[in-house]
Amino acid sequence: MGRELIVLGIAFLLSGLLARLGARFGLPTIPLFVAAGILVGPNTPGPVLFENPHDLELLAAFGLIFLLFYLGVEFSVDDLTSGGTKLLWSAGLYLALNMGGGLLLGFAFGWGTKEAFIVAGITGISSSAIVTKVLVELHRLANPETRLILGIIVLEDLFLALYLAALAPVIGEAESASEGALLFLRALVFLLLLAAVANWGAPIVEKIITAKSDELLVVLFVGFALLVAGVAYELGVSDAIGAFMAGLVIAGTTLASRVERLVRPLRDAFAALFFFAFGLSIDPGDIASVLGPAVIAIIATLALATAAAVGAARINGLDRQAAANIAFSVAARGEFALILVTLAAGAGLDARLAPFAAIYVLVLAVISPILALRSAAFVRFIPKRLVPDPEPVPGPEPVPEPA
Amino acid sequence: MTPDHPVPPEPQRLPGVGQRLDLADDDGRALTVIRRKDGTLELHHEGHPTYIPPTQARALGALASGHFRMAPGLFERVEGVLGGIDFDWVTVPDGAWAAGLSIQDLALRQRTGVTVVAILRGSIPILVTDPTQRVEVGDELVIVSPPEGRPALERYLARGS
Repeated sequence: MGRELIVLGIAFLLSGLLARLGARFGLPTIPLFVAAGILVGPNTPGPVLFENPHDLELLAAFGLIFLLFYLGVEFSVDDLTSGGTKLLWSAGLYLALNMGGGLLLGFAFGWGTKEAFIVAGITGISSSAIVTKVLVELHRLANPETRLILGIIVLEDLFLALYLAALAPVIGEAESASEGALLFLRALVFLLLLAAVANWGAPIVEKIITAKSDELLVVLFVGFALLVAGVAYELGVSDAIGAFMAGLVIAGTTLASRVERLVRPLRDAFAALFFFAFGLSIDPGDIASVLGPAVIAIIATLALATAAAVGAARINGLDRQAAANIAFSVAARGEFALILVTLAAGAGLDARLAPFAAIYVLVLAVISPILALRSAAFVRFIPKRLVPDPEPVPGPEPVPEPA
Repeated sequence: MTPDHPVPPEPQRLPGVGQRLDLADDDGRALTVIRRKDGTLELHHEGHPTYIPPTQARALGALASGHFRMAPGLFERVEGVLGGIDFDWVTVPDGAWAAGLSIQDLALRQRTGVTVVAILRGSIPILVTDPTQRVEVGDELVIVSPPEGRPALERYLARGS
C-alpha cells in the first residue's frame, strides 16, 4: 500500500513537472504526460516505477471516463445547429478526408481490417484539448475562423462518440458474424435507451443526483458516471461511450454548469494518469518497426488537414490566412487517438497500434501548435485560385464634406 | 456618438471556450468580447487583444450593468456565506403570462421556491416590501433562490405552470 502510494505520487509529480517544463516552450501537456510514462516504464533504462502497466488500469480508466463524461456534459445541440449547413459541410469534408485517408493507410499497412478502422479513428479525430489551448494561447479566439474550428471540433467529438459506439462491438471478441450482429444490436439498444433518458428522463436523473452542496453533488454524479460507464463496458459498448452518454444526460439537467465546473479537476488529475499509463505501455524498442507507417500517417494528416481547411475556407468565404490557421490547429492529435488505441489493446488487436499511435500523437501534438503559430509563413503555399481573397466588405457610405 | 442599438446583441457560444459577444464602437468598428470559462474577459479591438482577469471582469460587468455597487471581494464572500443559495436576476419576457399580476397573486414563493427581493424597472429599483407589487414585461426580478429555482421561475412567469 505504502509503495503504491509512493509510486503514484511520483507518477503525478513527474507528469506535472515535465508538462510544466514543456509549457515554457509552448508544448501541450498530453505528449509530456505520455513521455513521463515512457521514461519510468519497464521498457526504458533507468528507474522503473511500474513493472506492469496494468497496475494502473483502474485509475487510468477513471481518466478516460472523466474525459468523455466532461465532453458529454459540455455538449450542446446549439453548437451543431448554430453553425448551419456550412459547418456541417466543413466538418463532413474534414472527417471524410482524414478518416477516409486513415482507412486506406490502415489497409495499406496490412495489420488487419479491425486495425484499419482503429487507424482511421486515430488519424481522423483532432484533439479538442490541444486545439482549444492553441486558440487561446495564440490569441485567436476572436478570429473569423475560430467559431468554425471549434464547430468542427465539436462535430468531431460527436462523431467520435458514434464511432466508438459502432466500433466496440465490431472489434470485440465476437466468434461469428451472427454473434457480432447480436452484440451490435445489444449495444444499439443500450445506446438508444440512454439517448431516450437524455431526451426525456433528465428530470428524473436530476432528482436522483441533485444536491444543494457541491460536495454531495460530486459524490452523486461520480457515482452516476461510473455506473453508466461500467454497465456500458459489461454490455460491450466500451466504458468511454457510456461515460459520454452519462454526460449527455447531465447536460439536459439544470445541474449541467455546476457539474461541468466540478468535474474539471477530477478530469485533469485522472486524465494525466491515463496518458501516463499509456506511456508506460510503450516500448521504445518497438518504435523502429512502426516508424515508416507513422511518418507516412503524419505527412498524410498534415496534407489532408490542409486540403480540408482549404475546402472549409472556401465554403465559409474565409481567406488564405484563415485556411492556414484552420489546417494547423485541427491537425493536432491527442486524447482521442490514445483512447482508441487503449480500446484496441483491450480487444487484443495488433500490438503495433500502440507504438504507432505513440509516435503519431507525440509528433503531431508537438508540431501542430508550432505550425499554427507560424501559419502566416505557409499562406503563400495556398494557391489564390483555390481560396480567393474575400470581397472587401463595403464600409459605411462616406459622409460628404459640407460645401 | 452613433445611436445605441435598439436590440441588445446576444452572446454566442464558443464550444469548449466560453462565450463571444460582437459589439461595435462609436465608429462602427468591430469590438469582440470573449468571456472564457474561467471568467477571464478578452476585448479584441482593431487587432489588439486586451485581457481582464476574472475578478476585475466581474467588477466591470457590475459597473456596466448600472445596477450594482461593487464591494471588493463581494462575490467570493457571497459564495462563502451563501453556499447553495443563488443570487440572480430574471427578466420578465415579452408576452409573459405573469405580466400585470402581483407578487401575491402569483404566489411565487409557494409555486417556485423563489423569493423576489427587488424589481429593476428601467433605472428605477423597487424593493419588494409590498406583496401587491405588480410585475411588468421587461422587469428585471432580483431573486434569491435554491440553485434549481431559476428555470422553474422562468417557466412559471412565461406560461403560468
